[in-house]
Amino acid sequence: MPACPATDRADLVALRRGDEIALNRLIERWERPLIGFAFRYLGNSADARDLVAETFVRLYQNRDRFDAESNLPAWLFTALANLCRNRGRWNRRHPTVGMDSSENGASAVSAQLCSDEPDPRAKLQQMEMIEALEKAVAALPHDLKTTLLLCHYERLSHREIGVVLGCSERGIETRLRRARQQLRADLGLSLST
Amino acid sequence: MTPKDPLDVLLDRWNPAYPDTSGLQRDIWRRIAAVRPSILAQLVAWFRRPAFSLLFVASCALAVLAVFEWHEARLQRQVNAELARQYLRVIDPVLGAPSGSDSMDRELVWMRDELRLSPDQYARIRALHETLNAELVALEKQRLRVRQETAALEEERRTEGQIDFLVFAGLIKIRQDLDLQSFHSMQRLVSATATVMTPEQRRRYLDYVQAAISTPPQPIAD
Repeated sequence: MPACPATDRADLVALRRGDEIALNRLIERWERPLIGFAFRYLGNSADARDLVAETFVRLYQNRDRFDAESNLPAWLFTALANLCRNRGRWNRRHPTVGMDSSENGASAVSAQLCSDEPDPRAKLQQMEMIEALEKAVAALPHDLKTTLLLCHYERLSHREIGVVLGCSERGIETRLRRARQQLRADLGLSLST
Repeated sequence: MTPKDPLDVLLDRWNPAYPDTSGLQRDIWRRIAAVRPSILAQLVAWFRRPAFSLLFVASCALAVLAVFEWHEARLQRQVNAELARQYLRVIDPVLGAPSGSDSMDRELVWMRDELRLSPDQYARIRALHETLNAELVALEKQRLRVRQETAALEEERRTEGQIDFLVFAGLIKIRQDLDLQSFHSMQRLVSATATVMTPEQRRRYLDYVQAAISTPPQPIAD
């Protein structure tokens, strides 16, 4: 996560004053963390890109509501997490065949198998474990998934994740523990088969 | 050193290829342009801000007050001008017939109210005006007599085709003298009245009678 709250605040102030280029700077700084989160959450690059764009549109539309005390990362991940949850529900009710599963998965596996790695079998096994991890993460409830992704990959503090999910730091610790327990349980089953 | 949790190891290894972000900025700005609110919606959004609403209401109130103040000042100027004209008719026989003593209060009450004269000041000013009033009435009578004689000469000129120009010139001279006397009487009265007043009252009083005291009588055209 880009840790530069002062720069974020300066860009938000500039954006409020009408300096629209400031939004480009915020996009450059935050697009990768946001896309990483959305992609891991949804497992679909088109959806991830779409929702990140929507998040920045909402940031622009709500630019006047930010003040010096506003926590930009918390706001961005709150908006994006809500969008991801809604998109996830939509996708479950309207199942489609994602391009990522056929393109990325197959090409990545074939690329790995054809690489110069010393042990393709071990590599394949590792990729299967990661695929299992993806499925296990996808199966987590929204709160647990968001907590895990923001904590492990975006390095947000428990306090910041609490802002995103609207609960206390202790609540976040509980959710993180439950998420890890569920992942261990799911992966243990997956790895054993 | 404790071995790392296998779950963390696995999570660390989950580094999917990031989706391509090229053109994301362009896409975002295209979406913003598509959903950019209309001018009306922007106005509504501005008015939802308490600070802007307060500023707008305050500006409107100030504007209304300014217009009201300007209108009041304009009315007051008109009223003052009319009062000054009436007053000048009282003190300057050239402009009109002097008031009788009974209407003196009516003619001077505006001055008392407008200049906020004390009872003592008002009494002294009223006494000054009453003293001069007899002189002004006499001057007016003379002016009336001269005007009648001039009219009679004019009638004679029309009916008989000739007049005594020496008599006519004499009447003109008398009339000019009367006008000058009236002017000096009025100047004396204004000067005496002004000395009773405070500097601020005097300044405002002289503003009212400025036109009268700064314009000496013109030569008579008729």
